[in-house]
Amino acid sequence: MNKTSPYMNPYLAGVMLGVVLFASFVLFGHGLGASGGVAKIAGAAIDLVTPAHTENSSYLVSLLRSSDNPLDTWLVFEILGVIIGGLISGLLAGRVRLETLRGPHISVRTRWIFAVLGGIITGYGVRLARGCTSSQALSGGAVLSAGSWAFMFAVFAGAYAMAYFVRKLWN
Amino acid sequence: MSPLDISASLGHVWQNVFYVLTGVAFGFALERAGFGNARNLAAQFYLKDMRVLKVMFTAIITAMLLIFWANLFGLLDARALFINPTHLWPGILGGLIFGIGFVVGGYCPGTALVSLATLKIDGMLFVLGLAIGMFLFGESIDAMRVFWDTAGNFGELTLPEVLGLGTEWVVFAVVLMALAMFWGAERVEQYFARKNKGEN
Amino acid sequence: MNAKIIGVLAAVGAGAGLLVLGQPNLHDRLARLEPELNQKIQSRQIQIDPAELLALRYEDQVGVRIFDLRSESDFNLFHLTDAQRVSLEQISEPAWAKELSPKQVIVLVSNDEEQATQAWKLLSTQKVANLYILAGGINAWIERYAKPDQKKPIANCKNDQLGFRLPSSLGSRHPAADPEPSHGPPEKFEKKVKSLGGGKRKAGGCG
Repeated sequence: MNKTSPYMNPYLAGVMLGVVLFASFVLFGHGLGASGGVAKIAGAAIDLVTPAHTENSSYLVSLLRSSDNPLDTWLVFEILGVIIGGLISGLLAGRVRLETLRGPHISVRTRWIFAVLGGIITGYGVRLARGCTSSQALSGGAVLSAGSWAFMFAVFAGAYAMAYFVRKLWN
Repeated sequence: MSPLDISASLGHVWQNVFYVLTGVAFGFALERAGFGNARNLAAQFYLKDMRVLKVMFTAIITAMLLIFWANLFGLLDARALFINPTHLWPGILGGLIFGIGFVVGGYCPGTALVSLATLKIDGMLFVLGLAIGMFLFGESIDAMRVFWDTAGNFGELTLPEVLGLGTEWVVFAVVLMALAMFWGAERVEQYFARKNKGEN
Repeated sequence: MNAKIIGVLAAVGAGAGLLVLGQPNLHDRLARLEPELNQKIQSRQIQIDPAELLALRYEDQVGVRIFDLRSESDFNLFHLTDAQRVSLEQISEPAWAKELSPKQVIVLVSNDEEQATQAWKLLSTQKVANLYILAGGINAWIERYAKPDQKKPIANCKNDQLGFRLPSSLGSRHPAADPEPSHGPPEKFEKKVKSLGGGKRKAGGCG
């Protein structure tokens, strides 16, 4: 165990996260989610700018038109909470600072470009796989969904396969 | 017997309040774990800090054991829980793409939100990228709708069903697998710690 | 003892404990849910009037599947058009219940309500959605829809037995198996089938 780490012991943090996940199943009958809320907010923003486009996109129609208010969904409330909770923990630990986290050998600008690029790729994969590390890997993993376990190992496989090619970003 | 139906018992507003509170606990745990920092997350894929694997699998086995113990005692009806439907091929392809984005961008969606919450500019840009990527998916889905809807679509499928084993056997196997992975992770970290010391 | 060993022992112990104790089977789970289910049965929320079933069959928007729990001989004597015969053993198999689509209404039928109620409990425990019982069963159906010359009531009929003597094994060719909706004023009934959905929660995943 890395004693100099300013963060919580990873196993203890895992137990804490697992208890939160269990609480979500007890309270709501399903696990945690993160990407869905981003999808709803992003979709609603597109709808605001070009409402005509929404009607031509089967994806946006099913994302936004299935209820009266696409933002009145647990996904959005949950990520609001995630942001508040992250902020509280960050404030307590003195980690709230306007900064860019990056590998030691790249410029801030390079990091920004790759952050957006990584986000785009992840965002595409999330929707294709119908969920992210929270909703698929953690939540589906805990209830032993076969597809969630396949997804989880695919994530690690994709990341390890790509890691070599982007090693300059992080090392 | 849980899962509870807060919407029916306390109303829609209270349910949303509970969702926000759950999110607060979720975000708090992610930030505590160090997941608001892309360097901690990316280190997993260079085997230097196996924090991602440790937190993730500890969380999964903790929740899994709680769920199936609660089911045994009749406190929670495991059959009533949402089980992510298995769309095998889109899930695997999406997972591979997701993994690539993860190591390129340094975050996954939940951790990026925590990073954004602690004012990391890279986290904010990653979330912006997420929105763009989701939009691109929406634009291209019609061309691969059949693949997305039907490829490897097994509906609700669980590991016990795939393996033909009782749930309790699979739970036990997952616990053992996680512990073996933790043991391996500790060894790998020690190896890199020694190597770095040698270099310095 | 250090924390790491305690953690490992706790995880292995919790896993091994489940191995020893197993997971509750269908009948354990049914026993647990029984008070809740009995309450629904006694308040007659799930028993639909024959007229409602007849109306459902003429509704394009709603798919209906009828499962008949009676013996093969009763089934051969008379059954509703499109009804499928199943046994309580069959519906206790998890694989069977899993095949049922949540996007249809399922109606369980027996001679009166006894076996259908038992089946309803078993399937409700397995979280099958949109599940109903034909009120009064086949006996009420024949009483309502067979013409006087097509039914001869049996005196002293026991519980869950066919209450009518039928001329021959007509199955669904009996005129009452698929009666025409009446041309007179529509039959009045208390509507009990709710809009589709419910049952197992579908709200998870990332939207």
